[in-house]
Amino acid sequence: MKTSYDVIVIGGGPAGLSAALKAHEAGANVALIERNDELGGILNQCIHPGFGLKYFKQELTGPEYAQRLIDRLAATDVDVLLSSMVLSIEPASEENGHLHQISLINETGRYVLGAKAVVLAMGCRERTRGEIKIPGSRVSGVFTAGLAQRYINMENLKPGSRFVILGSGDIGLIMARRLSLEGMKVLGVYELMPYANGLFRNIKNCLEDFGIPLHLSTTVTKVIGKERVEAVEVSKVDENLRPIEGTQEVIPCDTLLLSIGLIPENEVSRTAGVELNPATNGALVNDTYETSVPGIFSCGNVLHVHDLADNVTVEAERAGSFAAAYALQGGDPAPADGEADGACIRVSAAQPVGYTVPTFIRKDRNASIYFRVRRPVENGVLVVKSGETEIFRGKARAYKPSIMECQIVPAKLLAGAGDEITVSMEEEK
Amino acid sequence: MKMRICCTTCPNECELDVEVDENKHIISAVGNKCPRGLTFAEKEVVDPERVLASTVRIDGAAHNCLLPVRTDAALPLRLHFDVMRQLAACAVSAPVKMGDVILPDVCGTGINVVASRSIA
Repeated sequence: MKTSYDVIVIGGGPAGLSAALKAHEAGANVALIERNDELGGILNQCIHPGFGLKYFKQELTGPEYAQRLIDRLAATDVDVLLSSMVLSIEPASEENGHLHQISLINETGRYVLGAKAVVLAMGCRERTRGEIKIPGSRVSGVFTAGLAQRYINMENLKPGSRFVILGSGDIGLIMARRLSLEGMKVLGVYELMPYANGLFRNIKNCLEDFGIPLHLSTTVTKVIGKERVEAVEVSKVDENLRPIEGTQEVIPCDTLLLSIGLIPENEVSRTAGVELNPATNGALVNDTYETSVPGIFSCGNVLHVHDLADNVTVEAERAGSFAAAYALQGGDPAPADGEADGACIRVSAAQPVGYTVPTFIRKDRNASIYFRVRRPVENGVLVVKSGETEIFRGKARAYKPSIMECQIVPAKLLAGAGDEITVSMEEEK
Repeated sequence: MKMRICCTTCPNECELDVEVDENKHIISAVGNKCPRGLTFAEKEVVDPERVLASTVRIDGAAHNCLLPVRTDAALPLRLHFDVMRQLAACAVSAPVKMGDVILPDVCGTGINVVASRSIA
């Protein structure tokens, strides 16, 4: 086994596969490390269609989307390490020969690999019951939606018979349909917010097609049961999202599925000292997706949670090609914070815009700024300001928190900006 | 009758407000950005169609006990449970390649159920 590479990619889902392919295409010598026993990541359990419309111009299922990337990778000489778990990254320094040191374990032992550049593509994990502190019994029968999806679609296990789903995120909606098709009963989907969190197509095709009710401004306030879930108590919530006394209703069921959000999985990034953005729980990156640690890049759901795999691929390809450029040119053609040449702009978000990726852009090239609104906006105008000076104004339209947006700001508009710009939104009546 | 339809042909997800007569003919439609929206709405009003995705048992594979499958075209929604029953009775043996036909011509529609991935 080789012990050093130009680029090492951590994670073999859509982000890692796409980054590895692009880095290889750019002429880098690449290794990809995956902790599972096969490539594809979460796409392997997302057996439903709806993937690939943007990138492959064709509607694919999750496994099909993954298979296309896996087949492309198989035709390259990229080294793939399966069932291998990265424990830590020690950033490059003079003492370690200017290579990032990646420690990993697998069935045969513990290894350290060196890399000129690293792409973080570890994805995200689901929020659990503990994170929203649902009161009641600590019984079996409470699952995250993605875990139930894995049981049903990959392990051939049945998690329950009568389901209540909390959260209208896409995974919860997709599972409502999947459970119904497999003969299980979905009693209802409950959503804390006054609007649905998933894509509209999923509300339509996963709930309406099967007559499953969606209850907005309602949440689970108690789990009831002795050893297994026997019922859940749901309550309406007020405009401050607090349960309204007297609105409790007990729903007999044996399983509660939680679809309540995702958290980028950055434990390994932290070992390298990568600076994180509290608004996304992902790394702070520049427009090449390089993190605060030179030569370490981040892309996909470990950077910020995406709603479409297609967007992950586009982002990861850029990260992969810049990682290759970093490795092959012996440094960063456009430094992470650009302080040295004054060509860098820090981007911040103002409500209702929740965050932007990247955080650092350059004045001398077009910037693709990805962002998400925190709440639905009926008629919003995107406004980019440098101090009090407006440098960009979009057209009025609707924005939804479930859809990640991308605004391209041309370099000619950025040339005159200061060292900080703010992305905000004006609301028209 | 008035209906709100979400065209799922592309990621734009146009929402159409359509008015249909008693023969399920569309009298008026607004909200679609392209003609594919109208084609989608015409089908949606008369006989809605969706791609069906599920799994079948696979034997002899190293890591997998289920093979994900899909219909190779949109299948009328009214046939989905019928096809689900046929899939429950279906098992295949590894190896399988993405695109292999698992169930041909389901319910006489000319639509095939195909493998969604390769399993060695």
